Amino acid sequence: MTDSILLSTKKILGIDADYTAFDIDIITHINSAFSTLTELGIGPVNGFMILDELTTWDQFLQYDARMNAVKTYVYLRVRLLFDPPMTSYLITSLDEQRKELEWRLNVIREGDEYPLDELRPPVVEPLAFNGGL
Amino acid sequence: MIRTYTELSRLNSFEDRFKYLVLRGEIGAATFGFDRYINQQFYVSAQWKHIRHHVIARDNGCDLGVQGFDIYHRLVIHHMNPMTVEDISHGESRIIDPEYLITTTHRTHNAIHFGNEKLLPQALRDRKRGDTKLW
Repeated sequence: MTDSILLSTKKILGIDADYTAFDIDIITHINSAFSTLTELGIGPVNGFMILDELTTWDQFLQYDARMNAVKTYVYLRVRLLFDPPMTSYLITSLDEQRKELEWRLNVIREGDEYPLDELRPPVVEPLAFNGGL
Repeated sequence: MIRTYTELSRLNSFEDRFKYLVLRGEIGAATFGFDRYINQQFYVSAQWKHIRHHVIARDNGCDLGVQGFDIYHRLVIHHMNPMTVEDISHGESRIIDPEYLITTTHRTHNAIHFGNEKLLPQALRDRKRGDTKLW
């Protein structure tokens, strides 16, 4: 099974790996999903993007198996933007699945220690006034 | 006979899936009867609404999960093995387990319960020269 982010997303969308006419569209939507994930605190702190089929899921997930739902999340985001279903039933259900995964990934993220101390707001010592004495 | 999604998904055609699911109940036979309020409470529960979205997404919003049979009207999630009052009151997990649920339409759902194949969606017929003549 391919670990390429672009190729695996194309596979699940039903597009052959060799058919590249929509690659720019799909890459744009994948990067949009990564942007949201960065805001949720998932993945590299400074953001993440793909340019072609060479970028792999391991580069994003850093071998963290708990985050595998990210793959489905990215698919759902891309499907709803690139190839939205014809029926409102399916649109609603896919969107509900997307919201659930977003919430679950956030739960995992909030259970972790914050990785970079330098991004924490500085601790400000409270000023003590002695009334001018 | 316990029907499961795993077995159902091995059948490719709509007709085969229908034959697997058909129950052939009797019209007018009591199901929930005066206990229907229990069933109605279940269908508005958060758990049911949650699993309903999961099943629709899994089946791609198609009747019996068969591609090409997209549902535009009156979607129903069918319990492959009919649910009873005891299942709800005892909190049986199988009534919210996707393994025993399938997406369908109101008409197909009636066809499954009453064994009426005339209610099933019909395949499109090939057009022929002159087939639009009214008389």
